[in-house]
Amino acid sequence: MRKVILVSLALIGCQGTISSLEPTIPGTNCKLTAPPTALVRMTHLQYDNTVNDLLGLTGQTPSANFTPDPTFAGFNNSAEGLVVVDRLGRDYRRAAEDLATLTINTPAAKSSILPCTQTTDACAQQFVDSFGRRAFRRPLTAAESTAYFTLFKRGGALVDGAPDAFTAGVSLTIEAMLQSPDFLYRTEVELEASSTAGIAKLNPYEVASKLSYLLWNTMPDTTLLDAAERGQLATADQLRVQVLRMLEDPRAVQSIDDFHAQWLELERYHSIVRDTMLFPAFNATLPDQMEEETLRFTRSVIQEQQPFATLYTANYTFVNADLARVYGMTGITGSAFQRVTLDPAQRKGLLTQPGLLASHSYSRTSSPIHRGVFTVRRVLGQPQPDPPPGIDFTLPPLMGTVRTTRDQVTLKTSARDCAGCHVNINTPGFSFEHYDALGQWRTQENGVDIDSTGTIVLSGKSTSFSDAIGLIDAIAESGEARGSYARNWFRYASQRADGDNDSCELKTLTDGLADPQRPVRELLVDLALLPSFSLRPEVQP
Amino acid sequence: MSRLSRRFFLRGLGGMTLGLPFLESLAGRKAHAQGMNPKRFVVFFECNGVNMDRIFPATPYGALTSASFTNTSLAPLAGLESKILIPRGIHKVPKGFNFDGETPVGCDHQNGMGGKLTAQQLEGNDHYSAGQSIDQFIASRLNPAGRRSLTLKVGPRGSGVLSVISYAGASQPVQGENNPWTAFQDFMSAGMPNNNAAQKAYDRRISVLDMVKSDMDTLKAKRLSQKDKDKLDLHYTSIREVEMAMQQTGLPACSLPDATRTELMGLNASNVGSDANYKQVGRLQMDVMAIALACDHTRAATLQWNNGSSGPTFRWDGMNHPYHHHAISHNATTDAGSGTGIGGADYKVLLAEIDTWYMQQYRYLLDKLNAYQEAGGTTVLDNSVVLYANELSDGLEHNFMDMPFIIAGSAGGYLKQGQYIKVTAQQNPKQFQDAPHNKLLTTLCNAVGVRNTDGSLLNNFGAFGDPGEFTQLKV
Repeated sequence: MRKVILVSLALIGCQGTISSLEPTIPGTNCKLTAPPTALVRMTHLQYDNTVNDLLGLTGQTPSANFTPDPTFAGFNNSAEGLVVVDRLGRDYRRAAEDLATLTINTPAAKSSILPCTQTTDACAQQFVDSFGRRAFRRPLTAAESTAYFTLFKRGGALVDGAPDAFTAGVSLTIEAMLQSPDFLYRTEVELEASSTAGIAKLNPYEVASKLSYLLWNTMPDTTLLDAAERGQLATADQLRVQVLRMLEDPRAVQSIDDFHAQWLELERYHSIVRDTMLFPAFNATLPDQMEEETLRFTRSVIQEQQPFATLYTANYTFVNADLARVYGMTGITGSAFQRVTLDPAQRKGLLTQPGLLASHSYSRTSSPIHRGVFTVRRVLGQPQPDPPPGIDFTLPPLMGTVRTTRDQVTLKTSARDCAGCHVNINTPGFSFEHYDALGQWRTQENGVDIDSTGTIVLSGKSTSFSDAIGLIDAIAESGEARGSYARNWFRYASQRADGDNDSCELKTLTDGLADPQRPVRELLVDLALLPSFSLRPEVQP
Repeated sequence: MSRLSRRFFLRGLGGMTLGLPFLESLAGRKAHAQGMNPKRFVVFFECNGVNMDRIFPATPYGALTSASFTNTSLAPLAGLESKILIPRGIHKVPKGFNFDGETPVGCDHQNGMGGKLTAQQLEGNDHYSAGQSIDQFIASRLNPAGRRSLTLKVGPRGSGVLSVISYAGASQPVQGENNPWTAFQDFMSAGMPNNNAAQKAYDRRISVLDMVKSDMDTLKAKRLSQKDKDKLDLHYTSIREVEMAMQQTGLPACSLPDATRTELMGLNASNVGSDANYKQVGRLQMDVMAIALACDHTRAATLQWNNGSSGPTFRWDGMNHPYHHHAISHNATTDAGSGTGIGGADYKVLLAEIDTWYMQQYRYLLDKLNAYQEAGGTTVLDNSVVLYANELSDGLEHNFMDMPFIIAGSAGGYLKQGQYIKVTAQQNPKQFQDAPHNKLLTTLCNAVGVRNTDGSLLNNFGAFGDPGEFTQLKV
């Protein structure tokens, strides 16, 4: 492969902007953004998945003891934020030592990583090369192969507790490779020339890793590495075949779930606590089951090749006995989840799931403001500032004409300074008033009939609705909802916040969701085919 | 000394004294060698504000007496008045509440968490602090190169501005470790095997480290920006401190009692952050922190109790609270309510119970540090600043004025002791005309011996002008 000759920049010490150095993406008016880093450290989730797959282990979660990562732009996988500082390097060391010991003492794991059964130097060299290719997700260079073989040979003298020198060498090799930057970072450092001047592209192995960490949150499998080796990750068709294959694989759940859990802030579910005197359907395990429902549902939309609108308009969900109680469904028993059809007058798609509704409620009453802000920010992707500091959030008491939560919120937010934002927040928020603080359907609150009506402007079109079902239909058809879903996937996939340069690609993704016949999973193909997925400015920032 | 090999030197200190970058370790201990006691900076951090009626001494400004803490939340500090200094009338910067004339970035809770140890505005979409926190700043001056402040936490991990108080730099939050066993293992060797085994383990780690270094150097020769090269250097700094056992250094009692070690090893990593373990984990974190300070592993440390706008439900030590700390601080049943009442109970009574409980924990840490003897008849506490700080003052109001701060220890005689001192010129301590909290942070930096390169006193910490020091607090 031909290496790019990097332009030697005479810009040392220059403090100016580098935007002038950003090339234009071929066929568009947009510039190609240089990613913030060429060394993208694994997230902790990716680390756990990868060591299990690499070493033939199951259920290991060493990252539970790692120093936690901060979140940026709503996701915990920010390429810029994932650094190894302070204690984390030592965390990695402890994990590498423990995992090496565990692997050589777990027969199935040990045999899964050994390409040969002898204890000869030839077999040692074979192990170093085959394990190294999987650990570094590319073939070792000749120098690396020699260096790691030399290290392997020192295993007998350095490793305690191994049954023989060969096994000691295996252990030491694992311990070292798991701490190597070539393992811990997904690198973009061996770029190739592209057909466009000023633009380089990832090499096939770098593409393979980027695909597997996006779609699986773990290392590439043999099929993917072999495709890279044969240069079969180059064309759009080849990439498409791989993405669809990977989405059919059980490992795809690791990414689909991680994305939706972060986009929908599902950790909020775990703070749901209800008084069982007021909400008999509540129990302490309900939040976990609510999360399971949401994840099963979002998985199904992707895996069953449903179109985007189904995310919001599906007539089905997944429940067990405990959740059926919240839904008011009868005849469902046991803790196992089953697919059920929703009452079309009461429920539709993602937004009427009890977990989302309850996690945006107070402990006794609904919270139209929280539900509204969630709808505006997460679902419609519109900026919505935090309330100004110093606000007294106390709602006015229920008395006189103030008889419902809607009345309280309306009165509280009607002041001129509040109404500017709250007209946008309250409208979707009020639409969910048919659902109480646990997400259960109700027709009245405090003996007063629920008012869930409103009017909203989406995609430039004004829609009046009588309840959440009507609002949801409008959302499902809106450009705002498509844009938000696409933008969040873009952020997740590119591991950075989006900027002005990205408008062309965001439009591509958003437009792709508009076709009512097109499966939403095609968005993941689109992501892999974006120029910014594999193209890089030749000039380094 | 530079002609000694790294390995030879480490061997010379004893089998398990592994790999602390040795020249730095010598520098770190120079103070000891010269008979000077190292100075330390410690923060004990509570969230959600306090019951303001009971958090200050009951006696007038001036000398603290045996009556000062009676019938207040400070009661657990009784008997230790001679090592306590309480400044009054300090307001936080940035001020919040639109007092700065423009809407600051982030909500009050975010500013309380992100700004308290940084005296910086928050920034960006994620509302992390725009600058370094005082503990990391002091660590960068007093610790061996690359060794950050020891950041410990009690309660659940988190992942945003509300879960962090310490910052390595702008938008570089440093999460606290919430598992004391993990924290302890990080700086103490986990076991004391015989010397041959220890030596072998050390040699193995050095071999691995050399291999990792070689891979890093290879990477650095490729298409990397300077920023990415710096990133690899940071990474390398994190792992080169191989391991160390401080038993060999002649420092006092650098090991934990067997019972404590057993308790640490018995912790379940999956639930160290739960309410059920809050009290036990808190005590163990203080045990670990005390030994890290006494053994001079670090000279800066923070202990963060739970997250902003959050907190446990207190159901131990005689408390049986109906709701969690943040809800109670707002006289409400949930995070989102405010002033709606908590079912008949007086929220201020419950808050005072919580504050008193935290003061018991603070006292535990102070007693631990006070039990370690150092040169000149002093204790580790005497040579430290152990600052009690809170996210807010009045939690219900999200107030930033009249912040509760308590200083224990004189930092080796720099600060007054046994005093309750008003540091604002205003009549009412609930003010924002003078006495910004970055002035306190500046004073404390100087107290622990941080100086400008020309040896002069610092005039400012944070991003809010040059406040100078609270000279009233100095001896």
